[in-house]
Amino acid sequence: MTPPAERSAVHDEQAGSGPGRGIEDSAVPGGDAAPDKEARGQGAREEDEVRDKETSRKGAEPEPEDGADEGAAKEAGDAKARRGRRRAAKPGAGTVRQGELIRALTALREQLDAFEFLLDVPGVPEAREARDELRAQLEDYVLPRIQAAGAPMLVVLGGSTGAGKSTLVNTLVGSRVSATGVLRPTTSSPILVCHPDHVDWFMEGPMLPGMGRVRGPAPDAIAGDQLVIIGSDVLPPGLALLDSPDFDSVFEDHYEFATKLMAAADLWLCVTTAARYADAQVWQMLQRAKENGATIGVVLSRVPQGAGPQGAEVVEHFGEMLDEHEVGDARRFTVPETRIENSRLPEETVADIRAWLTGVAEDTEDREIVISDTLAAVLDSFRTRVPELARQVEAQVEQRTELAGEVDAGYGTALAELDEATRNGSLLRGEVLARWQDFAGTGDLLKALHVQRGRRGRGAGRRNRRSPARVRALKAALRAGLESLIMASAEHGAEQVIARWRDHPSGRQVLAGTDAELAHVSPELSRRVTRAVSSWQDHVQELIRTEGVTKRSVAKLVSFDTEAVSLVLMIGLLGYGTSDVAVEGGNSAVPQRLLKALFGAESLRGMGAKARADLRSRIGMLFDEEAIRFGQVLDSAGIPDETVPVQLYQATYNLEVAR
Amino acid sequence: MTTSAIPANSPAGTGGIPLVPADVPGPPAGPPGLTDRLAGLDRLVHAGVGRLDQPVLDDAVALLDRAGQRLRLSGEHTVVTLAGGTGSGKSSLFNAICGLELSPTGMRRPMTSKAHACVWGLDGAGPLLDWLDVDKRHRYARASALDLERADHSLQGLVLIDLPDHDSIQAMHRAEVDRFVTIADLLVWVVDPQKYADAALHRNYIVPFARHTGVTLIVLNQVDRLTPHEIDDCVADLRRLLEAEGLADPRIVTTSAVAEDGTYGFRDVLVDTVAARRARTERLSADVDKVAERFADYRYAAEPPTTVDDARRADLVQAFTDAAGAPAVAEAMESAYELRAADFVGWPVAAIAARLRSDPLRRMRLTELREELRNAFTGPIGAQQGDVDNALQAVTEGLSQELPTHWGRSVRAAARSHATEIPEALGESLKHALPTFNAVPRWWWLVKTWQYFLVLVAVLSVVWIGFLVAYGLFDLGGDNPSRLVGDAGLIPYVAVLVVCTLGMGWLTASACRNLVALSSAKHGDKMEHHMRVGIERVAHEKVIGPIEEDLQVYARFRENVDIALGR
Repeated sequence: MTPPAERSAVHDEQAGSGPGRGIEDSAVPGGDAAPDKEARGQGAREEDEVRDKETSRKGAEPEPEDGADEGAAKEAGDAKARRGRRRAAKPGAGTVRQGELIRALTALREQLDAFEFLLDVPGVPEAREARDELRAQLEDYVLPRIQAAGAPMLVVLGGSTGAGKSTLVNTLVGSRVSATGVLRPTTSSPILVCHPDHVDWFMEGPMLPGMGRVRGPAPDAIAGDQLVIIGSDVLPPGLALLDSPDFDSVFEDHYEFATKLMAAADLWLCVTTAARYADAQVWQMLQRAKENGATIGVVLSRVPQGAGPQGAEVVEHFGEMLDEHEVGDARRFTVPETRIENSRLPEETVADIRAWLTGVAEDTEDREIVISDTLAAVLDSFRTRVPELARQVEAQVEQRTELAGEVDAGYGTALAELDEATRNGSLLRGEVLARWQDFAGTGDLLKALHVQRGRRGRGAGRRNRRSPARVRALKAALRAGLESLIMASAEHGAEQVIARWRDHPSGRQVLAGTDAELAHVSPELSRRVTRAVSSWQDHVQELIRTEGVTKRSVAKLVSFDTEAVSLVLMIGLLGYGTSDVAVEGGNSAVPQRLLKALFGAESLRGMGAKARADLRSRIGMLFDEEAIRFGQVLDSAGIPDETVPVQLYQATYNLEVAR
Repeated sequence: MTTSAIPANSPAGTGGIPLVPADVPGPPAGPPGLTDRLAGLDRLVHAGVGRLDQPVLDDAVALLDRAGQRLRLSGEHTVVTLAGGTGSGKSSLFNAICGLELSPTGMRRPMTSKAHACVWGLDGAGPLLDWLDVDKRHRYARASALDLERADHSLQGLVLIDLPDHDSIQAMHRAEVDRFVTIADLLVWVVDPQKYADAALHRNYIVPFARHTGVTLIVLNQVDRLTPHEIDDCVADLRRLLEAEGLADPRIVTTSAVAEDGTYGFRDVLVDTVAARRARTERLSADVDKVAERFADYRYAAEPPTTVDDARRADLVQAFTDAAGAPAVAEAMESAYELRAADFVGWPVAAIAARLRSDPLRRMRLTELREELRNAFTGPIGAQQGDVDNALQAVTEGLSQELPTHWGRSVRAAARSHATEIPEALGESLKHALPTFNAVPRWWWLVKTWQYFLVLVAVLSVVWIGFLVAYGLFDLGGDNPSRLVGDAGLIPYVAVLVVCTLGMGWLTASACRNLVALSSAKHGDKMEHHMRVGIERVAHEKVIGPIEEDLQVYARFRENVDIALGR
């Protein structure tokens, strides 16, 4: 609840920015609420029969506003005058501000539509429900209510199945408009009863736009989710009663209706019975109504009669529970268990309910107060409900970030392993090693070196272009070895990510919607790997050609075949002689020594570093492309991104500004 | 331990007030009794550890535990729980059956907060009540001498438990109800005309326990509030509701704790149930059904493969052969063989000539490298881990598609169980295939001797020519040299001899090289064959074996599901 001072500050700001609007308008909410509270304070707990306006105002006490500052000094009569002024001010000042408010609310509704709660993190079912409720309340109640300020007050009777909602409505209306009976649940379609003058407004009006309407009376031939609208002379013009389905029977759609209608009520009458007032569901609904800003009345029906102390005990206990659950300020009524005749209760049992309702409805001012207080409370509730939603969205965003992190971690591990494997010589096994032995052992390696005979070194290289079979075989084996290592690593990376996601509660959910292919490498990867590896080989050869400046002392004597020497460099890079492939008897690895002798230590180090960096970046690129698939899955899963909560906060702020 | 093999006892439901329907489903007719089914379930759990989803396993373990405990405890007693919403009159009903005011009743809601138990026939009930964890203060016993006049023997063996409500704001109550409904033998749901369609009851209890319809009884209490006509409507509506929720043939009894004879129908059902002593096994059977069905989701109806087919095996062996580079190893070995052979059978003259040629290594002062390179043939070492991984991936690819997801995963894991050992094992197996290569065939020595003989002949011949030139042409040796050294006319013949020996040496060398090539190719083939055998053995030991074991586990799992389902 906003303290009035704060609220009027908002209005002041608004008035300042808006052209030529009433200053008195800005003073209204604070000044108005305070004396009202005054009046309530005098007799809030009186249970006596009352029909005068004083009590009807008392009933309309949804906002325990604390505006004692200026209001304390004023008299009740003064307050009345102010109220009159507000009503007069409304139509004129309303339009601009109303327009802004509607715009802000529409924007908020669009924001609410713009995302999905996809991941089942704790609290999401509630958040989903809260979002739907918020959206429904905006559409069903807030927007129509702002547009149609003069419409009748809508009193919704909600409650447990078998609590006697329909019977109560029938009694209040004075005829059988809603079916009653022993079968549970009895009422399946909501039935709205209002003064005949308003039937058309409810039939065509903006209230509850999502529901179909049927003109009553058709209490027995009820069609699904239709709102049945019945005119009745018994009700005063400002009042509409809505008999809503129960909220706790086995029919889930009843629960949905009940909550939807509850959110659309100007006044929500919760009907429960002596047998079930301790049901968890009743209190959950009361709590929810309170959070959603509804004005609440409570009816405890079917209180056992006769056995006096028993009935009193129940009523007393119920009262204690109401206080405990912080809905103690709701207006309370009791209806005794009696014989039901003609679907109606004896008139005297509902007298105080009728008196209260008609009292509020007949006095336009009081009705306005109830209506506007409820509206204000609902808008107030947005202040906490929307940020609450935004927090839930943030939780989703966080989950998404976590999942993306898991992808990075999965491929990161795979990449690190791959890096290690290309360094520690574990690649030099099987065919690669055999080919190397073949190449080195038979002397083909040495054939790649030529003694200079007067000519320039490069010329000798070109002369030996035919690249003997063993060179080609070694090159192919190296390529194949690297390729399969990369493929296996990529596969491993994908598996890692899948495993990590599977361990992650939200990841499992995202995975459920994907095809099995994700668990493996992408189909085009092998082609890409082939290309990457062969271009790396070309790159190394190019390095040898351009940077492999032969040591001056050696260059005079020896020239070499770049292809063969590049293979030697690769073998050296991949870790020949480092670990388990230590050469028997050799103190240092052959390739390194040969290359060092050819190029000199420094030049060799430079080339080695460049070649390795090139390989790593090529593999990194391949892995990035693989990882992108998971990113795409996350994107297409429809998890909200980080802009959504920001926009929600923004929409809430805009709404506050517009009020 | 009792099994379900209890003689079928006709449960004649002869209540005065509508008891519908009277017949209780008979004991499972199929061969697997409850103990067999539990044993089957136990095996399912063992097979499923590490393979299936933990919640299912946990539930199964909990059930096995519970069933074991319950079956050890008194079979003479039938545990009946009275559960329902606040104010439905559970306690009133409890008191009416007991005939005493044992459980507090009243208007305030919620009323009962702890479970109360009443036992008819105390023998053996103590451990059972301890197991049920009923507070000692809330235990009552009937069928003592006091009650003899009431002839309460008919309820002998009944343990009636009055539970707190399940739907009040006291969350603790719900936990208590949840605990009891999982262990009770007969579930009695007490509803009243006002609350019989409450979602809290139906969603949380009736629907999850829909399979337990045989041990479920719905009591519509407080019928005194309705007219007889309304009672019929109400019962019909309730029945329709229950049937829609999957309860086949629900049993509904109407009661009224107020009327004198209002609880007779309910009492009759209790008498029958207690007399049949079957609720316990039925209850557990229903539990096993429920859990076993969840296990059934982990199997496909189709008969699974139990072996790895030949094509897949061949592919695997081929992939391993490639991973170990067997052909390359063979080639390298052939090269080494030929190289070594050349030392023996090669033409020494050519080797000397080659050594005289300029050598880049010598120029780079790296002559010792040549020797090292010659020694590069260290034999096969391992296999490419990447290739092995890809091969393992490929072998399970098709297989796991024929299996349910979890088992596919398990088979993949089985295939990979030895992944890191495989390269080494492959290397080892190849090494075993290479004994022949270090041996030096005898004929190499012969040829070597022959070659050096030829060299000797050639050298001698050259020396001879020298003598001939010296003595024959220049008469250096005096007047009377031997004819052999003095006759200059022999020079052409000896020269021819030199040329012939040189030519012969060269011919021998090239002929032998061909021979060596032939035999090395033959050796190579033989070696490849040996290697293949070795690789096949490794593939079988490290991959195929584990996979087939896992497939068999799955096959047994499927059978056990059937047993646990009682089929």
